Amino acid sequence: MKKILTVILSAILLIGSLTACFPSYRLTGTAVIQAFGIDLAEGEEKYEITLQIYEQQGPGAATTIDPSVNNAAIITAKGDTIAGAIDNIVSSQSEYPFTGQNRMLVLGKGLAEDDVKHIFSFFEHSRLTRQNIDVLVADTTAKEILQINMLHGILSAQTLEDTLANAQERGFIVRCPYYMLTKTMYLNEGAGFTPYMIKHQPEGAEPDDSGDSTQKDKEVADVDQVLCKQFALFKDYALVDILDEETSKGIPFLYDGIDKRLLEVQNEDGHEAVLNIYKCKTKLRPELDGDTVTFVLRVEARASVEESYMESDYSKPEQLWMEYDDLCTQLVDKETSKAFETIVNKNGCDVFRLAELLQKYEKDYYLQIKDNFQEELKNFKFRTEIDLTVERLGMETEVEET
Amino acid sequence: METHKITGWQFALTLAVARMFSVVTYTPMNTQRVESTALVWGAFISTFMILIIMLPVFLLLRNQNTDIISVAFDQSRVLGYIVGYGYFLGILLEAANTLIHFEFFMQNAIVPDIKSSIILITLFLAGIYGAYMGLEGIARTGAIFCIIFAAALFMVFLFSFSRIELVHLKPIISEPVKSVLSVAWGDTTRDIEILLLIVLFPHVKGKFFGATAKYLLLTAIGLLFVSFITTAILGDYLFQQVFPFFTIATVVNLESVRRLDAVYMMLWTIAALIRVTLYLFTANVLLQRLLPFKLKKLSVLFIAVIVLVSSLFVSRSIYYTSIIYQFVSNGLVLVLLAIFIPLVLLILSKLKQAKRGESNR
Repeated sequence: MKKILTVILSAILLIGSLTACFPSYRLTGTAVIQAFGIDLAEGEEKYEITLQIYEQQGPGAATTIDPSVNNAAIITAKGDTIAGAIDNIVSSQSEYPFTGQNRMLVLGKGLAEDDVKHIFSFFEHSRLTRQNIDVLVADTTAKEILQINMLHGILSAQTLEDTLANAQERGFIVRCPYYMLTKTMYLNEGAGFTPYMIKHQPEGAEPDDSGDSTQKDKEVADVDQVLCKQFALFKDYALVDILDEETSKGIPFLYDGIDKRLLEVQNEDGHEAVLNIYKCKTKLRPELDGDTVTFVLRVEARASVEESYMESDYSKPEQLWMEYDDLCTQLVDKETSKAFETIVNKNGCDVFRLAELLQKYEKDYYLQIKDNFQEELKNFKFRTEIDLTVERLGMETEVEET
Repeated sequence: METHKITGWQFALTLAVARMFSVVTYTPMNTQRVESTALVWGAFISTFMILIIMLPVFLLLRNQNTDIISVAFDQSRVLGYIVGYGYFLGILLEAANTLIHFEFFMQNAIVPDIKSSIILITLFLAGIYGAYMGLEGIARTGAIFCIIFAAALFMVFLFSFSRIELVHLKPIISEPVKSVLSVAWGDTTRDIEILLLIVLFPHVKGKFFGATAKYLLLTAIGLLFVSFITTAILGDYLFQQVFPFFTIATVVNLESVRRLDAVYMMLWTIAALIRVTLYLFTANVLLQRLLPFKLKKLSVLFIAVIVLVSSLFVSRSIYYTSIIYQFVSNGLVLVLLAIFIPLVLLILSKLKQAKRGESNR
């Protein structure tokens, strides 16, 4: 009898200990937020919030989720604060907004140019916000990016996330999780960077109004695309520059964030090759010579040949491969140097932990310049030491040992 | 209540779990404003500080399988009661402190929408049950959970490896010695578990030094690991975080587990439960010895109600919570109970020995 009572009491206690269920919301009455967009509002209120929520589009399909369409809906609201805008959303519709599954935070360009410091407070106090959500800046408004109708996937937020993942995997960008952005900004007086996303309509995909297009044509016409090959640069918690594609390509090397990268090169004779960096390790270190600090980027990379165009009677292929090595080295040097010059020397943003590197490796010198560090940023020099080896040539080209 | 002896390893592993609750919750202490590298050095040095602090206790208990209360009673009955009630109050305070900070963690990081009393009462009921089961049951649970906890810490390291930036571990510029010593002292003063070591030692097989060495080894590894991982991932940004170690869990990006922080919450809950249980049990052991009459099984309930009511009262306001936090972390409890009292008892026992020696001559 004692044991039965103990089991019953334990069961009741266990149920009572499931405290996360108080208060509870039914799944059907919950708006599961997939993406969060913030823009500067027009009018009296300061912020316009756009929430992309999961909305199953199953009716008529074989499953409750129709994989052929975008299972998402958009909710917008305005407010003087982020929490206030969310409150307006709650009061204007029946579902409870749940941010625990949020994947990304999109900042409108206008808001980014104004000031982003104030929006962090909401996310830092919200226990449901994941610190690893992607943060990005939209080329126009966050609302426009979140409203796009993308092909593939059942959720456009998921597709946007996958697009970012692909762009990172191909070496175009480094993804910027929320905690990374706030940490970089906190440590570097409001300097940081995030991927910059551009809404893009594929060529020839304009809607055809003639009325005689096929169903397939219509589908293509309705589909949007996004491009993510650039970075937005912040200083003092505000957007200061949009980096061009070449400059942006240098950042993954400087941040040791290259998983894979294609390098297209062409020599003076017009021979072309595409090399695929499949392994890359980089280290940024300061070198002090008198009063001149040079940051040296050491790159160790392994590459394989992805494509090559050479005349069939070309007599010295081994020389050509060495030439390609040099050309690729020059390309990486050019991209990284441009990124360093633009970000550090021109804009005065320490997003590569230069202060910490100096403190660690050249402590005495750092103590001398510590108080004027921001001014010193424009005087820092940069060079690269690149060790790029093409290891895999493919199956059709035989190269003599040199 | 069961009072079978447990092994030194079981004891050390259980105490290590109790200690890890305060390590993961308070590292770094939110009042500390030092450079983050100081946290790692401070964690390393605090182990040696504890060894030095415990020197009087080692000398006092080295050749006897007894506890500090018995030693005090050997000196005089009044001193025995003073020391006994001193330890009882210290342990009661730490039990309440655990409940308060567990509730603080749950309400700030996990479930802010619910009443604090629900969190406190459920943990309180589980704690009473654990204390009734006795030290053997607590130690078995603690030893098994310590291994799970260690595995979870290893998982954290594995999944956060790509987020580690060793550049954050840079030389300390501003008052390096002072800041390292300040962190080391902070880490040392939060090691209230050494009071349990001193009081509960008669329930443990083996020598006092052996059990202490095992405990110190485990906690040194745990503290060093938590300090290193939070510093290497967050750098000085960790001072912006209320629960830096929990933040580490939220930045892990796994395709299979998107909310690893939910798994971590379980570690916090079980560690808090074992800690509360251990403190309730110890307070009960002390009360049974100090009261002139027997309360039998009601004594656990009596202690638990005091702890629950005080924690319910304190957790109503962040102001009261921070007062208790400051009081415990300023080191007064540890200095009084782990340094001052053992030192006085050591001196008194040496004097007594010397007197005996003289009278024998």
